[in-house]
Amino acid sequence: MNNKIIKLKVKNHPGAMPHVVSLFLRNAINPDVLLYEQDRNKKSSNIYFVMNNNLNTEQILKQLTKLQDIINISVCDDFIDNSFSDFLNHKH
Amino acid sequence: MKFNGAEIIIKLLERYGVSIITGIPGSANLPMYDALYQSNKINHVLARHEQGAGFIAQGIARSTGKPAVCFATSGPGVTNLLTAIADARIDSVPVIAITGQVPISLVGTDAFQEIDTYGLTIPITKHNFFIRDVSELFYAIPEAFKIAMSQRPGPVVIDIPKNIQQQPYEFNEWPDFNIPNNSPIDKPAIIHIAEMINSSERPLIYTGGGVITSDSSAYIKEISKINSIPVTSTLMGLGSFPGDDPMFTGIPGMHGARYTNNIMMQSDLIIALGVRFNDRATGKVDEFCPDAKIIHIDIDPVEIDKIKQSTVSINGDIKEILKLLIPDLSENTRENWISFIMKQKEQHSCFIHNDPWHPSNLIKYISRIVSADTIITTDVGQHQMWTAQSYPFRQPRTFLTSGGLGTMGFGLPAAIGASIANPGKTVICISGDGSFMMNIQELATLADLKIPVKVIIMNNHHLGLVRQQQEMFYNSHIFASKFITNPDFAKIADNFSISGYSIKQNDDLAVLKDALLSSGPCVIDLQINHEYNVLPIVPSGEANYNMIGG
Repeated sequence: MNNKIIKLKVKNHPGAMPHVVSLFLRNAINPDVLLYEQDRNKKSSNIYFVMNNNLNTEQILKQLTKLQDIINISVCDDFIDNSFSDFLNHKH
Repeated sequence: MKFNGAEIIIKLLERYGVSIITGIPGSANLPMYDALYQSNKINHVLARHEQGAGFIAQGIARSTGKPAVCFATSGPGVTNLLTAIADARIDSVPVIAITGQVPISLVGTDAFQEIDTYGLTIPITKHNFFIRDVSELFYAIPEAFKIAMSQRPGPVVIDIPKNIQQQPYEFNEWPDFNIPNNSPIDKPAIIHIAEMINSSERPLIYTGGGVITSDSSAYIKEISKINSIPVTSTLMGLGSFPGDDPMFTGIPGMHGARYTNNIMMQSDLIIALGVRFNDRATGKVDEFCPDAKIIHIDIDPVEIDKIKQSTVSINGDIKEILKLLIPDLSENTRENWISFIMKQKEQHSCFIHNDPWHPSNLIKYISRIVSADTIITTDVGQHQMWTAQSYPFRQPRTFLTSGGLGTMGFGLPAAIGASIANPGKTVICISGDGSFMMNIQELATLADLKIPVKVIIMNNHHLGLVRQQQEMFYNSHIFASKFITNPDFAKIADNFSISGYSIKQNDDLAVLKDALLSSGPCVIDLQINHEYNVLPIVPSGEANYNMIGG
């Protein structure tokens, strides 16, 4: 089954990541890969994670959209191999 | 201009119209208290426990719709406050909690009274802030008000280390504050909804707390009248439609009347406004209103299709949507549907009991004594359900109850907050002996203020709803739900310099009437029979047609 990569652009501060991660347990998101990188401008950061396709993506995306620190969300649907190196290659 | 962080906080709160702050001082928030000492625009209400402060703030916010502010110190001050914040989150109440934190240099060192306030409050707030620099106050405080009040309201925590409260800061101007407008409304969907309503045979309006938040009651009345649509309300929606109107059909679900659940089962169109299809209201979701199409209107996109798939939905402000909807609705008398409803209400008239001391009858007696604008708060348990079933709430924001979290101990501090924010109105806290003990210390706060809060304790010497479940679903293994010791509540009140009354079964109820009509605060210990159960009851997880009793 195909998985999804969720890319979140968030405000760059130490409290942004905990808000995202706090949604994981309640939505049974146990990502194979999770990556956090600051943008060069230091004003925003990007969080990438791989999400299993059998989860309720629409509901999870709505919940993520409501987080105040999220600037935007993009979803990549056709991600097949979720090994870490492939994930990074895919990103670049 | 030059002020320290604490002075900036208080001056910003003054600018945003805050006139009351409730809380408890401690080491980490003392600079803010020192700034508050110098304010002539904000009064402070000293609570006796931070949870009490949180619920006093909730009483202000729930009864007025405006944001309310509470203060707590770091560590235990914060952990004590958590329940009230979580309660505000699930019931969408705009409370802003400003908490003191140990100085930045000590954060992360397990310093005295240090706790990770930010981490603890992530899942129970709409948003939270940890302030690392005094300049951030100019962003965080206006943002907190915006976030608390915009879209679906909710609590915000601002955690501020002590050194930042003490740090001087020079600046030129104060930040602006305005709440952003709600997003535009999907007009084609409104036309579609109007057609669905006009062509339906058995429509039912189903109102939740969102109707009260969006101040839409007048429009609900108008729609119900034009198109002859009966109205049912969730617990949080009580007061959104007059409880004594013939078109009102009660609350559905676990403790709803038989007729309410029957009417919902028969409906072919549920117009769900500001509801979240909570399990206590829907029963087994798959069998909730099986023949009905669902129109779901809510400001929060997360609620749409979360539990019940809607046929049509609109994400937006209920009031703005209803204003656009009304001109497209045709007049309709719906004689068959209305006569079915009136027959159901007649055949299954619940909550009528011969014993004048049945709690439902006592609640109806109270409702006849006091005026329609009286604010009722409750705690959580049997007395809460009896109040929801039998008190005819006639106006929005007159029923304050912990609906989502179900927090025992909510009633007294919420009543204090409601009374502070509504001078001249009577506020009655209907409580139980179990719940009342959970925040009984706030009697001291009530005595400080001498405001007309009337506490009625429906005293059955039990955790009544637990006892009821043990009797009905656990082979009558009544265990840990009977109190071996209860205080004399009237004497306790007297000791706080508050008038206390003890009323035993079959005493003259004139004592209750006189106490309610007296001027100051009072506590009335009303002894009730512990064998009464809240009926009907739908066993947890079952469909709403499986009602027992009533």
